[in-house]
Amino acid sequence: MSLPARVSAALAALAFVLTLAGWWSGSPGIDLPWAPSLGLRLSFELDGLGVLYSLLATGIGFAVVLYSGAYVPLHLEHQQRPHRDEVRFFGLLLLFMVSMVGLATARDLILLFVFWDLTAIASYFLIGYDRQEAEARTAALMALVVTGVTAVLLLIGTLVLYAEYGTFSIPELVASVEPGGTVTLAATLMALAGLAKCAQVPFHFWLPRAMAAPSPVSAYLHAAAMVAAGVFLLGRIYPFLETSELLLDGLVVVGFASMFVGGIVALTRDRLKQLLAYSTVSQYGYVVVLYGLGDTVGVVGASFYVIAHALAKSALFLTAGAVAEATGERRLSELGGLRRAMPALALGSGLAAAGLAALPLTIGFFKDELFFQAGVERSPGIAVLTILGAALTFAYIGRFWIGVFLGPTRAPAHRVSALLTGPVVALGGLVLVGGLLPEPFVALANAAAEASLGAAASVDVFYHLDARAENLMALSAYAIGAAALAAPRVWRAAAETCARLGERLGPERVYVATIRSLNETSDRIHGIEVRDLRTRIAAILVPGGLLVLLGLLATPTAGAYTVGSLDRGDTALVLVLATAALAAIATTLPRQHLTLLLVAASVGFSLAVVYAFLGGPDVALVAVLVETTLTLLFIGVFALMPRASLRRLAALRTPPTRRWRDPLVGAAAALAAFLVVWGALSRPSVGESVAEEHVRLTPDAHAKDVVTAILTDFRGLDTLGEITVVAIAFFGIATLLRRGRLS
Amino acid sequence: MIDTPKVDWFALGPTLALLGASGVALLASVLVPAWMRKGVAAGLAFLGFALAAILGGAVFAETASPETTIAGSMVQDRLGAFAQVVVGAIGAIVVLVSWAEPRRSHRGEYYALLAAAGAGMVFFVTASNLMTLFLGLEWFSLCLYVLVAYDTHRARSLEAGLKYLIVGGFGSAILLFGSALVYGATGELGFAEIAAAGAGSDPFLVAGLAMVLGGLAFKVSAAPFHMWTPDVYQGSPSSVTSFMSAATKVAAMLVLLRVLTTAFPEEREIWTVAVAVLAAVSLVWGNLAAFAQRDVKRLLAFSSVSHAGFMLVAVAAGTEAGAEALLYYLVPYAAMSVGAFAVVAARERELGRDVSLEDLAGLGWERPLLGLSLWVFMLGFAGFPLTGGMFGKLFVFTAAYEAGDWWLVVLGVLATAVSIAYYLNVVRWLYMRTGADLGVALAGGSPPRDAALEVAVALTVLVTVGSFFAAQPILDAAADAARSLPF
Repeated sequence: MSLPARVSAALAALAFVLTLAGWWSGSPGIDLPWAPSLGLRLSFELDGLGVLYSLLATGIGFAVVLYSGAYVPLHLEHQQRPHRDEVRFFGLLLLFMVSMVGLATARDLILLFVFWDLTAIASYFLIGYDRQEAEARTAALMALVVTGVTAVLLLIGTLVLYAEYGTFSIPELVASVEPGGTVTLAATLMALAGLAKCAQVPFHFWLPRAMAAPSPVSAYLHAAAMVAAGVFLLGRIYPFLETSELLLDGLVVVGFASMFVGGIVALTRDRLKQLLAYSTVSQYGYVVVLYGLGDTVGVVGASFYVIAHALAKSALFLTAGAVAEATGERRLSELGGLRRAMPALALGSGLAAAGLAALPLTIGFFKDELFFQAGVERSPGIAVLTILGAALTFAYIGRFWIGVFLGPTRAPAHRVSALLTGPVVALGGLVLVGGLLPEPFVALANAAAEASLGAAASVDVFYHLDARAENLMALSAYAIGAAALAAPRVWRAAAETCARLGERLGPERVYVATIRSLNETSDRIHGIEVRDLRTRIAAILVPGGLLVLLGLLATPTAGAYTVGSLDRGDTALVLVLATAALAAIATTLPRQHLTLLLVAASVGFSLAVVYAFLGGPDVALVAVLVETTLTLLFIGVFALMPRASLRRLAALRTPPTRRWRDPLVGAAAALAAFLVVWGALSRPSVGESVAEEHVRLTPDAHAKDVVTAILTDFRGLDTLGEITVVAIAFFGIATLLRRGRLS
Repeated sequence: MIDTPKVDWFALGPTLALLGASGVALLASVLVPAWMRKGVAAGLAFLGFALAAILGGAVFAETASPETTIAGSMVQDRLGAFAQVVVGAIGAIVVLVSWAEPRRSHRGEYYALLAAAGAGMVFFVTASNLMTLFLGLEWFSLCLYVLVAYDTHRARSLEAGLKYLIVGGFGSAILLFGSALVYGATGELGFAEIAAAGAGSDPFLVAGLAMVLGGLAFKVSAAPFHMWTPDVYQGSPSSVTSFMSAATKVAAMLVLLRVLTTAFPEEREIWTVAVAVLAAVSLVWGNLAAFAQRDVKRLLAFSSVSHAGFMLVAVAAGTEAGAEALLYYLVPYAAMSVGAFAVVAARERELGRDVSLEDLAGLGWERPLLGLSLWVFMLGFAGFPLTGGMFGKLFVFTAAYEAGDWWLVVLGVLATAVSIAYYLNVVRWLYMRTGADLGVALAGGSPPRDAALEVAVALTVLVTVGSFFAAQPILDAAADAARSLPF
């Protein structure tokens, strides 16, 4: 094993031992202030639920790291990648482990969210570890998008609770929540995040895709980390969930749907890892059903189920990896009879498969017993469904193990490292130990349930050698499952049809279609995003006008507009104003630049006449001066511009869209200006002015005329500022002209 | 004797520091020997920005309650000081980003303009009447018009400059027209006086409010006033883009908040709705448009539109919690924005062309610091934890939810969902491909290391991540600053 693998293994083992020690010494915790004004704390505690998932994350993690120590170098070799990529693998795996332990022990919803997203990020890079393969890249992105997007729901649920109860702390919230709409809303949002993470219908599609990851990653992801985090969340927020019966019933429905969808599709898969992936969907369906059924048995059963499943499923994934490494084959149809070449692997994975199929003497027997018990307590209908679910499990796991290890040898196997089989055998052994000595596992499940329920839970499991309901249900499940295995022809076509239907109509289609339609919409927007300047200006004016319009609609306008009177003396003024208006309209017509310029200038000159009529000869003079200067400037510019390009521009036809748009925008602007001017003239003018005060103070400033006084005294500082600005402008011009020309 | 207004030099400190830096840098660009012009000017600009930030900090520390100064034309308060610190820090980092930018001429004047723009911004955020508001706005805008067009050898930069000038002129005109209407309705220019005039539901006042809002929405590039953003962000020199995307947004957002709350408290029902609509349009349009962008700067431009949407959600809450959320949001956002454009700038300099998503292939492997940083920025934009982006979103959503704008929360969640897809797509290009796969070749072999830029990027990462772990001090400052506003 390489150094990174050794270090990771040592760390995982250490963390495992520390967790055990922590559990032994009674729920140690850390509680530090983080953002006190929000009541946000760095608060961790190793309660029952925390212990369970930390042990899984570190214990299974340890096995996976050992296995990876042999697997990853081979994997990199196959792909002709440098050995230093190994460091990244173990680094990410450790990050994953840390986030999982953090998640499991977090006592604060914000911390929970933080670690929740960290597991998603770590999984993104692990799923996409084989980055040269397009499939792996797509799968990684899909997993992160689905879990990342739904994680936002977790955050929103958190803030809903915070807004209502003013705290992020889970224990405080648990103590203060009361059944009601707010809690139900928050719990629903959080549960959706959890269900997406544990790949329940209809979010399950990302999980089989994620099989593009290397096998140890899949084992870890499915059994102890990412996916397990989903059901962990359900366990953590169970106090919120149980405030609403409807929500719990919803969980039961989703759980059963996942169980059957996953189970049926698993029956039809040919690739080992695909089969196992769908089996994970189905297995976590059990857990969700158990949480949905609730009560002590349900919640303890859920926790116990997670342990049993984690041991068995990680062993099976590692088996798939070892088989692929030994034979180079990844499909059931190409494999068979490996019990001869790989007896230890056959034994280890056989025990694990027996555990999943709930055979007696394995830990799995008790998981199903609790499952049946919870079903029976609820209703006969649910009980029947539980039997069918268990039968499905029996059938697809049987198909997996028999297909790989029994029958004729199809693909020859070469020897593989003991590190590839050892962890499988060890995990399989644990499945057996759990069947013989279930007490420690049950104690762990009870402790976890205690954290969920907030009350002591003491469910016990034994072998009862009598004809009680659970035993009969187990027997019927075996019988149905065995029958299904024996006669695949009966169900094959139907199952294939279901699977194909799912592919055609399933939620993955929705995901793909959403992404595609987003892309198309975005492209369309890209098309609409205008490129020419006029439309851009319109895009400023039109929304601005709309805002004003909305504002005006929201306010009463009665009395704001009054109509005055005209007398004979105003005739000349009206005529000049009309000339100005006509000139303004006329500016829209000419195509030649020079004509356009002259028409535009005529607007200015007409306005100058208006000023003169209104008693402002000095203003009129200034207007004439400015208008003349600008016109001359423009003429100068035109003279410098190439004649040909001006002629070409003048000859351009107006596009049809613009023929309507420009007048409309112009008319709207004119209307707005008209209304504003009208409204302004409708109000009485303010009488006082600063001008009289200036005139009055002029003698005090020892000045003979008011303009001098303003420039040098009243506004002396302004003059200083202007002089400074002019000086700076000279400097600016000097730097521009430094090389004698504009560069 | 005529009473002269009292000039509070302390309150003007940040502005004067930058103005002085700008003036001296401009002089130096003419008088100092050519080979050291850039160094002197850049050093001066850096010192100016740093000094502005420090003086801003001092004003923050010394000002317990808001006071108006210089004849009521500007206000000395913690809100303004907060913005001055942020803008000063942004400017100092942008100076580092700009250092190695290939520039053919006028290397010194660039920094003078940058400092002048910064001076305009730190003045703008203290404006307390409509006249100083417009003055500040034009002050920094004029500098930016020139800076956008600074790469005179690139047609795209010139085009962007011209577009920004013309369209920006309309934006400013709308603001000015609105100010005139408000003045016409109340006879007052000062924000507090406008509120006190109690013009109530005067149509002129409301129309003026709408136009002032429109003019400022233009500067924060909120949709539908954002049409200039993608072109200008894409066309400008990347260092200028990084400055605009962060500093302009911070300054304009804070002024928007200040104007709305201090001058128009009576019209809260009207403007909260208008701002909410702008926020919603920005969220939808920005995210949808970003989705299919191939050019990274354009993608980031639309992302900045969508972030304007998130910030406006906080403004639309119209509460002190909303103001606090906005102020917090601005800190990590500014860091991420400067940093992201800096990374793009680095890649641009390596490749010698505009950077598309494909051009990012393998950056994560070739340049671990830059790649990792861009990764952090993208996760931060998307609101993932370990970055301040997460708390920003959380606070904004909380403020909106408590103010009863649940529909904005829903929209924000959907927008975040869409945004996750395109931000992660950037990460995918960074890590999941290598440059060799796609034949992305460096222009002229491996370029020299750009230490200044790397320091700048490292600093922005530090702020992005630091604002997550040390959220409390920023929150405290934000709460202090928000208290300057009348709620």
